Amino acid sequence: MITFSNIDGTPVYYWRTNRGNTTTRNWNATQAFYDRLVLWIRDLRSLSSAYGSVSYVVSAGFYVNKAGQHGAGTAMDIDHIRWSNGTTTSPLDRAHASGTQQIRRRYLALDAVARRRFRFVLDGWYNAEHADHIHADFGGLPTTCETGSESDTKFVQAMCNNFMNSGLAVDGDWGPLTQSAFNTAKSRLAVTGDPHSSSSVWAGMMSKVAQKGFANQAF
Amino acid sequence: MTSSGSRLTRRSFVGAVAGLGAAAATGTALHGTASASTAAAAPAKVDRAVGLGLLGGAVHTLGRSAEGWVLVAADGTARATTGLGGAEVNDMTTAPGGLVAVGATSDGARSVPSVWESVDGLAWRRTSELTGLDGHLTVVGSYGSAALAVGASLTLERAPRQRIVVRRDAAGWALVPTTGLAYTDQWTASAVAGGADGWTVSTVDASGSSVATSPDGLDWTPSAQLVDVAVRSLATTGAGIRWVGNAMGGSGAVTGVVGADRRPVPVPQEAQALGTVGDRSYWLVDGRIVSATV
Repeated sequence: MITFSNIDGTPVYYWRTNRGNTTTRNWNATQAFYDRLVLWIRDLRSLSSAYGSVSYVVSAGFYVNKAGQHGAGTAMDIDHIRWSNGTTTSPLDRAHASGTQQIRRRYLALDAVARRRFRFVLDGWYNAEHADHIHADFGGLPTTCETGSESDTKFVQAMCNNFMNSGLAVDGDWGPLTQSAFNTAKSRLAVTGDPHSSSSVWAGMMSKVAQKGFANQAF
Repeated sequence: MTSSGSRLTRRSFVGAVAGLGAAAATGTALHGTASASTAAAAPAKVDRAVGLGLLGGAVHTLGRSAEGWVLVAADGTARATTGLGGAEVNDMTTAPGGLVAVGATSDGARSVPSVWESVDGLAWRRTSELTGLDGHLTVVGSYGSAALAVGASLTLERAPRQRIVVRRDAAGWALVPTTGLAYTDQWTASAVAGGADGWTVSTVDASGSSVATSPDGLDWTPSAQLVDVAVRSLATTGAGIRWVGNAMGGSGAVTGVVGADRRPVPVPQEAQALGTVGDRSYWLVDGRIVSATV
């Protein structure tokens, strides 16, 4: 385990006991997981550069003393992101369920950036436990889109609904309607290759979704 | 649930326990696969440690070294174990007849919640497994002749899906139905303890720990919520339910009594709580076991 208070220079705060607190915290994770966090935040900076720099990240935890990926120091819970132009996205405030499409799309953009670097990403659509944060961990790598994954399927369904108005039930069941909408999304985003078998294709598709989401653009 | 365990007999622990208290275990990891009864004690560096158990009155934990699970004494010396190869071990405690550990065994892409028991802490035998479930047991506690283990079935993404409780009585281990714990289904059980008044369990969500109590391990009542802490040890004391754990915003070592203030434990910042025995708490620090009064 290593101890860190920022990811590649971006501070990471904790708000669960005191919202808005900018006291430095000492977080723990494995070196390999921290290295992946650096790649993740560099992706985030690049794909959201129109908002300026990433001012800070708010997290609910990295290493947490319990069984599973958190206990191994290989997981992250994202509560909130703020950029230098004042823009925010706040899983802590259940942005995935916002009544404002732009806020939902920005949440999906953050979700998509995480999916570029982490295979198991659990968001507000996944289950009640993740309604107030986005979880990302080292399990199940490499990153691809699995039709048998409830997490991936619900993300794709929410993505299609929010960017294409597909009207899908976000139920985690990859049926013909989801497949059709996914094909349309691939076509409109000019994705070539198979996101189900190629990590680079899936990561590339997630970059395009993130760009659309941060720009609040349909596809 | 299958149960393959016949009654184990107690025999003397063969070990080299130099003493209690803060201790360091540094140097090279164990080598070789000597049998449990003849394994020599040696310093070992572990990257993970789970649970606390008493053998001959001395505190031990199970540690994961490069060569597998080892039994670590409070002085830092370690001995290779048998019977835990490939296992995900999540907790261990003292129980009648020796020690009991819980976790899961791999079954391809699935994991099977499992219980192991050992007389000496070295030779382990899987005594129960929930063969129809994909999940794991994460904590185990005991009181008198009874023991209780708590875990969860898991999703494909290995997130908790539904609470699992198994109980050991005179007839052995059995999956038991529960009421009042459904609200914790998607959270990880992190501590369980038994006492004269029944059982106490703690589960962890993104904000902290939720404590529930039960007279019998079957019917549960929410008791308290503790923000910003993953509780790893519970004990009923004259002052109330005392807990030990790690903060979640950062990971500082903390202790407290439910309903009262918390305070830091004087161990290094990166110390990971293992549990308590009496008024001493035990922690993993950079591969070493240290202890502190709570």
